[in-house]
Amino acid sequence: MLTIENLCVKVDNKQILNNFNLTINKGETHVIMGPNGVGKSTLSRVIMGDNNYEVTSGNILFEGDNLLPLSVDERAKKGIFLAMQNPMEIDGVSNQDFLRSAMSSVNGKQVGLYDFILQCEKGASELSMNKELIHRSLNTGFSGGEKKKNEVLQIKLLKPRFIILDELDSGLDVDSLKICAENIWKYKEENENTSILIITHHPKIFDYIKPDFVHVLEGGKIVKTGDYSLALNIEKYGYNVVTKEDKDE
Amino acid sequence: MNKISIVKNNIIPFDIEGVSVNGNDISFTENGNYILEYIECNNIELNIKIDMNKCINLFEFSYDNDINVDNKYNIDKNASLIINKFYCNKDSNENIDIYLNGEKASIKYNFSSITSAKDRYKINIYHNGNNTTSDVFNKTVAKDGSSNYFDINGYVENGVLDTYINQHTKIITLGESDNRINPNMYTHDNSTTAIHSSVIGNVSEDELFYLMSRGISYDDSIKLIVKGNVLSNINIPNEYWQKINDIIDNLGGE
Repeated sequence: MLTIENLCVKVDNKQILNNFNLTINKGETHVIMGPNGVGKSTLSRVIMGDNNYEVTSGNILFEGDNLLPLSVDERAKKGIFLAMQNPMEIDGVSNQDFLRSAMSSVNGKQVGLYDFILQCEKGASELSMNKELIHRSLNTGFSGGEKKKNEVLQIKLLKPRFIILDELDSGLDVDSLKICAENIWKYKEENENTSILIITHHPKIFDYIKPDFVHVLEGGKIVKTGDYSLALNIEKYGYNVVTKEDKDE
Repeated sequence: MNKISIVKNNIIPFDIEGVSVNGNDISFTENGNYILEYIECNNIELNIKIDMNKCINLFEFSYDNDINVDNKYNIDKNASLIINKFYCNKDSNENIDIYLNGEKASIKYNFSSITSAKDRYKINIYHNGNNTTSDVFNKTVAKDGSSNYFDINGYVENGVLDTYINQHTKIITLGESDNRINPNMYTHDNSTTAIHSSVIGNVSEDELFYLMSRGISYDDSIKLIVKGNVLSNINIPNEYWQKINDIIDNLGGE
């Protein structure tokens, strides 16, 4: 589904990703872990098309198509969704107008008001989300948990095929993390070809979303790949010990 | 909602309970919601009076006028005036004087505009009584080539106590435009609470990225932000909702 080949990315003339390679097949769940500042969030923004990041070489292919020439909205319309670490607060733009515009754009036709309300109410209810939030300004004054639930609500409404979760667990209490992660996993079970890329520091999220592969990012590239147990080892021993073992070998 | 139409600079005769007209003077003597619309006007001078203890909601609308406005609002003791106002004109040159004449008189002034033209707004608020309150919220979308100047002046007379002056003006620029905001508060009294903010800037790149990452095109994202800023600042009567949405849809993008 997603193939990243020899990707090099600079920000403010600083090399962040350096010959980065990753292949994610249909239905797979991958995890990227790594110390702060190694480029995990950069990777997510580059896949989504943030033009603050300069791709100096390499390719990102999504279902065989080159993503790099596409604008951010075109990538979203292809079925890519980035659940952001810090979802934007946009004062004045109502959450409802935003959600309906997004659904209409992704579906390529205006979504009827009745259908929209039904889907919103169902999604909000499944997320134990205060329905009042649908009518407020987008993310404005939302708590950390409410913002993340609003991101997951968007997944339910926009029905992406490739989901990037950039530190979904940051700013979430244990109950909200459980609700958000269980809803994402349920979505994946209902849409089994959906692939997920999780960027995280903490394996707690894996109690609910089961990864197929865990990668450690360091120096702008993946330095180690394993399964769920790698994440547990990182939590137990830290990145230095886990990656040092490989270097020593 | 009770509507007062001003066509070609003249107040069209009306029969609305609680509102009286004498020349250019309009007096509101009963609580209620009213509309004031300027149609094909170029020169407006109104004296608007709110009687003691009354609460008036006034929606003002002006579209496609090349207009000079010189309006005065006199608000009596314990009376409150809430103005919600939308302009999208060819040019606007406006001087507004608001007199808070008695104790606990208050004004809430919510103004939104979208413009491709040259707009000048001078809003003077005179706190003449103790415990008077003024809240001014201006939001303007400045399209390419436009020019928008706001002078907002709050005056507190010597010896007037416990006043509250609150001024916020935001101009969102689309393309190149000439914009100025001058907020001034004149007071010598420590009991005055004075708050202000002034913002002039482009649509945020981070906001655009967020909206576009949900599949919304660049143009539609701009429209969403423009519409959100303009509409969220004012309470719009039902009969003007679609009209203003259509205006923004036609003018909203870059």
